[in-house]
Amino acid sequence: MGKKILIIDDDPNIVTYLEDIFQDAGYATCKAADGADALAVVKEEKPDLITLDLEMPKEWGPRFYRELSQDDEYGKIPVIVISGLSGNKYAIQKAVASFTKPFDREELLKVVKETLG
Amino acid sequence: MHDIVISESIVIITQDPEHGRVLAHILNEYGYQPSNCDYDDALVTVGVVRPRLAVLGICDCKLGHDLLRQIRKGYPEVRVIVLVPDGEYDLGLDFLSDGASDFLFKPVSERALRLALDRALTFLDLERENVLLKEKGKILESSHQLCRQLFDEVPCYISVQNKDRRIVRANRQFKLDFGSCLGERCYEIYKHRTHPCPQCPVEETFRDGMVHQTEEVVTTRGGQQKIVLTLTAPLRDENGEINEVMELATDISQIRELQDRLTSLGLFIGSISHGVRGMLTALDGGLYRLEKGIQNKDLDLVANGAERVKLMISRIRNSVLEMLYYSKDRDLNIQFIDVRSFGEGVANFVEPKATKHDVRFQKEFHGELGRFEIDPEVISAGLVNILENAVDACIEDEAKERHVVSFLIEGSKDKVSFVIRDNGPGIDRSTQEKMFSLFFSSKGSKGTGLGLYIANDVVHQHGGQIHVDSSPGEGTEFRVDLPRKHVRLETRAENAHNESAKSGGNG
Repeated sequence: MGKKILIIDDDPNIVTYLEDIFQDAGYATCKAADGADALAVVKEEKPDLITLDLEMPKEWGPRFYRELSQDDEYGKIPVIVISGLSGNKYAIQKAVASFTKPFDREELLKVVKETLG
Repeated sequence: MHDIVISESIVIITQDPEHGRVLAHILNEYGYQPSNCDYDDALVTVGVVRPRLAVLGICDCKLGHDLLRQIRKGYPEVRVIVLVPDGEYDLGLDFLSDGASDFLFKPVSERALRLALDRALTFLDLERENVLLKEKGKILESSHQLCRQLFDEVPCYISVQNKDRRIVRANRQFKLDFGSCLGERCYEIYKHRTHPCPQCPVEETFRDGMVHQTEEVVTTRGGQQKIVLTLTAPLRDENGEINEVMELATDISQIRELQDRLTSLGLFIGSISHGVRGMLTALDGGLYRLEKGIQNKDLDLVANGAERVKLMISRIRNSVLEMLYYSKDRDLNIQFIDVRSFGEGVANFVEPKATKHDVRFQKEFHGELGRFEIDPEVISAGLVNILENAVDACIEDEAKERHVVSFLIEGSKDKVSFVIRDNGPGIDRSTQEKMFSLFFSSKGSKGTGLGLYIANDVVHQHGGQIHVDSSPGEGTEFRVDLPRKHVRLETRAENAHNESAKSGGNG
C-alpha cells in the first residue's frame, strides 16, 4: 500500500489541489481543515508525511506542530510547510521544507518523493 | 470732612488783597497750599500752579464772568468756587451756569468754605474714578469683543455644557453645522443618540477636573459625518467648583482620510497578499484539473477545472480591482444603460450565494425603469457588496428561522433607487456611524473594511447617496439613490487639492 500524506489547510480549494497531485503521484491522502482537528486525524490515519498551512482560523500551524512533536508515537512524522506567509521558513525550523504559496508543483513532489523514499 | 494728606494747591483770586490774605490764612490752616493773585495775574498763576481748586472773589460782575470763562476754557480741570456779595443768589446761579462748581456768599463762613472745598475735591475724585472706570470699561469691552470673536471665529466647534450635559453656550461654527442647540444635550446634537455616550469626556472632566481627549465620529444637521478630535476642560465658579465643562472639537476628517490612505496602503497590500497567494494556489489547482481533463479526455474533469479557474479568477479580479481602486483615483467609465438588465446582472451575482445558505432572495423591479448613466462596473461592485453583506448578516443571525434579502429597484424622473433589505440582526447606531470608514469591518478577519468604504465612495462620485436605516433585532435597509444623468464631480485627488488651496496650502 502507498504512503499516506495528511493535508492540513483551511482552504478547501487548496486541499483539493494537493489531493489531486498527491493521488496522481500514487500517494494516499487524508485531510484536516484546522490545526485543532489535525491531531485526532493524525492518530486515526497515521500518515507518513504532513503538509501544514500556518495561518488557519482556529489554531495556527506552529501550535499544532508543537503538540505533534511532543507526541512519542507521532512526533517524528516529517512536516512540509505550505503557506501564504513569506517568512514561513522561520516558523517551524525542523520542517523538512517550506513552500510559499503559490508553490512549484514539481519541486513539491520532488521533496515529497525524497522524504518518503 | 475731606482728609488732605498731601498739601493740595489752591489759587485764591481776588481784587481785595486783605481778603485774599485772610482766605489764605484760613486755607493754610486746613492744610492747603494757597497762592494768591489778582485778576490780572490769575491766568498766569493758574497756569504755573496748575491747581485742582481755585477760589474767585467777585467785585466786578463782568470782569468776574470773563475771568471764569477764560479759566474754564484754558484749564477745564480746575474747579472754581465763586464768592459773590451776600444775598446775590441770582448772580451766584449765573456763575454756576458759566461753569463755576459752587458759589458762596461774602463774607464767607469758614464752615461753608470748607464744605464747598470738600465737595469740590470729592467731585474731582469721583470724576477721576469715573475716567478710570470708563477706560477700564473700554478695555473690558474690547477684550470681551476679542474673546467673542475668538470664540466664534476659531475654526473648530466649541460648546459649554452644564452638569445635565445641556449645551449652554456654543460658538458660531458649532451652530452653523449643528443648528441652534442651546438647551439641547450634547449626545443628541452630535451623535443623534438618546443616551449619553460611553466614556463621555465631559463626564470624566466633571468627575476629575482634568483635560480629556477622545476621537469621535459626529453627524452634522446636514447628515455629513465628521471625525473630530475632542478636548474637554473644566470651567470653575468663584468657589472653585466645576459647574461647566468646555468641549473643543476639531474636524480632522480630511487629515484622517489622507493619513488613512497613505499609511494603510502598505497595510492593505500586506493583508490581502496572504489571500491572493491562496487564490493563486487554488487557481493552479483548477488549471491542474483542466489540463488533466484535457489529457485524459475527461469532460467532467475539464468542466470542474474550468469552474474552479473561473471562480478563482473572479476572486482575484475583485481583490485586484479593490486594490487598484484604493491605490489610485480612476476615471469613471460612464455608460448609458438599461436599469432593469443592470439590476438583473447584479441580482444574478448574489442570488446563488443566498440560495446556497437558505436565504430567500426576492427581486422587486417595479414598472418601466428606463435607462441611466453610470459606470456599471463600479456601481455593480458596490451593490453586490451591500447585497452580500445582507446575505452574510442573515447567515450569522441565529435568532430567526427564515431569512429574506429583498432587492428593490424604483425609478423616478431624475433618479433610480436601489433598496436592499434584510431581516438579519440589524446594525447598532455606533456601527452605522463607522461602517463607511476605511478599514472598519464588523466581520472580523473575514472583512477587509474596504467594501462599504468603496461603495460609498463610488456612489458619491456618481453624485448619489447611500442611506441606512436599521433596527437592531429586526433588520437593515440600505437605499442607494443615483441620479439618472451623470454630473462629473471632483475626484478625491482634486477635492483634496482644492481643499488645501482653500486653506492657504498649509493643510
